[in-house]
Amino acid sequence: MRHGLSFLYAALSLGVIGGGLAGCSSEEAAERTQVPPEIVEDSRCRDFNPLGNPYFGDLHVHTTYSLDANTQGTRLKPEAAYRFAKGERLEIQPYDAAGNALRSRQLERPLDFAAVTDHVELFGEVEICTDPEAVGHNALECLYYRANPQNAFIVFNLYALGLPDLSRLPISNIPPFFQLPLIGADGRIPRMPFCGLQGRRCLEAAKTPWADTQVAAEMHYDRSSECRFTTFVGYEWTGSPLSNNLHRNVIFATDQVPEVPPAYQEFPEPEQLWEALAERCRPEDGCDYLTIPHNSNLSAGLMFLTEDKSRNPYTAELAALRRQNEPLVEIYQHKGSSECLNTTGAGMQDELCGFEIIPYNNTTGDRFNGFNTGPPLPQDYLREALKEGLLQEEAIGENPFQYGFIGSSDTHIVTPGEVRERNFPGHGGAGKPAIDEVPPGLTDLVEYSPGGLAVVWAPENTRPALFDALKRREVYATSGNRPIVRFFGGWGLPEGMCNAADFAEQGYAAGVPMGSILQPPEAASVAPRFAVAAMRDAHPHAEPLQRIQIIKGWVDGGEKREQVYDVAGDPSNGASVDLNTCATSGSGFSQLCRVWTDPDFDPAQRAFYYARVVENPSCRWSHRQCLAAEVDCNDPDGPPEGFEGCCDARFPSTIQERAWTSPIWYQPAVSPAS
Amino acid sequence: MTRLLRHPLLHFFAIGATMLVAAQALQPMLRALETPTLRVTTADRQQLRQQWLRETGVMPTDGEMRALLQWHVDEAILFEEALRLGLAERDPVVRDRLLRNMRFVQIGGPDDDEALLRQARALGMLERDPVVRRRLVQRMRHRLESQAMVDDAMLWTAASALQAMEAPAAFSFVHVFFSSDLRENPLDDARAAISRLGSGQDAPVDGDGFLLGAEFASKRATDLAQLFGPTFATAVASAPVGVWSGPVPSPFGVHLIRVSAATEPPGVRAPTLRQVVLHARQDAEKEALRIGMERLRSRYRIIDAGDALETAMRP
Repeated sequence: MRHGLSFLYAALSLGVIGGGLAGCSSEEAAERTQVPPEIVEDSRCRDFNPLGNPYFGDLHVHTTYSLDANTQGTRLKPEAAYRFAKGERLEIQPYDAAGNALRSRQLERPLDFAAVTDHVELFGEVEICTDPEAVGHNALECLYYRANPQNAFIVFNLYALGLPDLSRLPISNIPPFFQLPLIGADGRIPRMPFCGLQGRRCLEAAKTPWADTQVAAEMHYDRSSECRFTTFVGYEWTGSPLSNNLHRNVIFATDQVPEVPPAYQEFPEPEQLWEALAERCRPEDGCDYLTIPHNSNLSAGLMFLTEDKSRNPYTAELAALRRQNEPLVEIYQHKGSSECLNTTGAGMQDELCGFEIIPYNNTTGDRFNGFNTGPPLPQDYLREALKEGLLQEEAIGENPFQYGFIGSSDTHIVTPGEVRERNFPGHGGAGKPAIDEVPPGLTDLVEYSPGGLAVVWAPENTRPALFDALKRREVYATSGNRPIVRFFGGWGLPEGMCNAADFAEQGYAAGVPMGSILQPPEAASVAPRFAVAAMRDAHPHAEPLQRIQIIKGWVDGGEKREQVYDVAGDPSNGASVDLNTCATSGSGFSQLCRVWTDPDFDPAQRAFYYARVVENPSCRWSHRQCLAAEVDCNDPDGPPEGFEGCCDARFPSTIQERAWTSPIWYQPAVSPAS
Repeated sequence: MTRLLRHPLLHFFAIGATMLVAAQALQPMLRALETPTLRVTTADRQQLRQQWLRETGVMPTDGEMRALLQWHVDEAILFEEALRLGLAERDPVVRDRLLRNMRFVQIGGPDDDEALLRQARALGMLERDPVVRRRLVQRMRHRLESQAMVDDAMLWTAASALQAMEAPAAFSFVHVFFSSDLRENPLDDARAAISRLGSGQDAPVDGDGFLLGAEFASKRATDLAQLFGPTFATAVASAPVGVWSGPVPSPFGVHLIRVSAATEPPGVRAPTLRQVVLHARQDAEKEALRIGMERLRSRYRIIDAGDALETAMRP
């Protein structure tokens, strides 16, 4: 909702704001100050481009308002996150006894947009326990919280987010267990005792950080025609039954947001979250939202279950509800990649699936000697989920998993967009914290990584334009680098698009962009064409492109299938990395482009296609730090404290940075089910 | 005359006048005695220098040293004022911290909180504990900021400022691209092409395809640096308007560019009322802090031992 200055004039002249505060009339004020420039309503941004510009951002950022960040010594608030995203140098944890920060960071390249997405579940609890003037500040739970924050994190987290998972255990089918007040007969999770009756004290206290989150977003959103930076009000719904990750980031389209955001305790199933959001965030009030699941790789098989909370199979209605509410998924972030798993099934042919795989299947990780977790599961990875979506569509007529892809950081130290392999400070959270001192050794758990970015194709950098693009999935993810990637699908895309000066114009005219549905052709014998083009990241530290692949998934007679096609570039270009210096060598490409026709197309088969753009190899963050510390894995005394990961053969020394476009789906004319 | 000199009334007036003159003369001295004094020691100066050196890697300049001293003095004033207003007795964080300190070091001694707090104060913990000090300074700063009053003028100023934020230079241009992937020597090809081009002529047809197209409108230098690298951005920013120039290198190959006249922004967007109020509030808080600090500084006498002179640290 935008107001012109005319609204301000009217408000001032009516004395709605400020009038009585200073004893100074608006006429006098107008004389003393410059007359604001003339307002042109609905004006466009300076760099408005109907064919779209690529905007880089981070939609997953935590600050001191998140329980895990707070108990790890993160003190900075949302406004600091936005200052950092806009390019300001920020002093970050840890702090010395006098409160001086021991490290600082600054983005080389500011972001175009960002959203702070703090864990909402314990907003109120954290606020009460950290605000000395809050009622309940000296409750036993808070005394414990302040005395032993790290253990309190586990206890608070278990209580708020772990206990509900009893409902997912077999015993919950037995009536006496199902009726346990701990589980909540009304489908809610009880809050901690100091939250008072029905958790009201904590829900009330939650309004303070939530209001601050909104204020920060408003303050840093550039509404001028320069359109330098866009913010979104957002939060994270943190469902983690038994540490199995079901988290969703909720992003709001405007500054019209619910008074209290729906949290896991009150709405412990995704479908309950969507219902609550639909009720509290209504289009007629100027409110709109979407939810973005992340880290399906750590959900232990739960994220893409096709069952409702009562374990009934998805209905068409529920599948459609899911698709409408969450058009996007985070394919890559600090806690690894969720694209595909190269361990079982048809994905074995795709060696590039081995990128940043976390070697366990939930957020318990290696804590407690791996108790409560296991090896990663193929069904937690998006390629399987996308194929499962096609199967669901055949079975019930609706695809619940029609996801576009974004990347983000999931930083817990208030550094959105800090996704470089060089000088990686660690992101805390489920990773390695830096509480009282910079810990010795690697700056994060070796299996974690700096995270990625979300790239949005939108005509201008405003909330409405970006949000529309997010909803229509015209977005792609990167592993932290900034290549520019276009992907179109169509029946009549010109063969010569790659050499044309108007690649995008032809793509839109003759096809659909990434994230779209490709409707059947008029002529039954035609195969679809896909035009994919990429420009390398222009940064001096970035590597040239190595190749582009198109990944196709489809269903054939009820079986899931997939195929990876190399469509441009050269996988054997000889590019390499000197592991002693991290110097790179070998040729690569500054641009790659291909108009590709599916050679195996069957018009009766549902399918999806997405592009993967891969750079030449470069050193992983951990190897850079191991080199700097001169770690010798042949030393009989073993690596120095904190550097054990340097010698863990499960983790590579190099990576190939990459981008993943949102898929394009092909839908046959008539559903086989119908 | 003698009688007059001995008259009690004369004595009364004379003594009164003497006292008045003496009082006037002594007033500054008395006032100085009442004014609280803060001392900046050589050790303070040294510590500030070292802190700056640690953070920046270089010694502070004279101007930076003055700013550091002002910051140091302001913190000391805020701390003293917080003590004077009794914030240390009431603030729950300070009390908790002192009690925790005392219970940690206590061997025997009193159990009740008030007695422990008295002991902590007697031991100088208020002054020495960095957490306590920081908390009291913060409380005092918030106290000054809370005096902020947002008036109409501030709202107007904020509204104007939000709209009139300085717009950086932006450039519209066309380019012809010579790909380093596709050509053996793109630089030579570009040189040959530009020699064929006259001022204002249309682009030649022998360039290569570029994903983002051949025309760019209203791009800031920072955007160009992100898309093409800093060398290209600098070249565009310094290119003559209306004529072909180059070759200009980029990570993609080589370009010939023709910058057209700068285009004006298409219009001015209005900030929301809420945004204006929030920014005005922020400005008002800064102003309240500035005024409050000035008032407090005037109440203190600063002795700067580093200069061996009594210096009032007033703006």
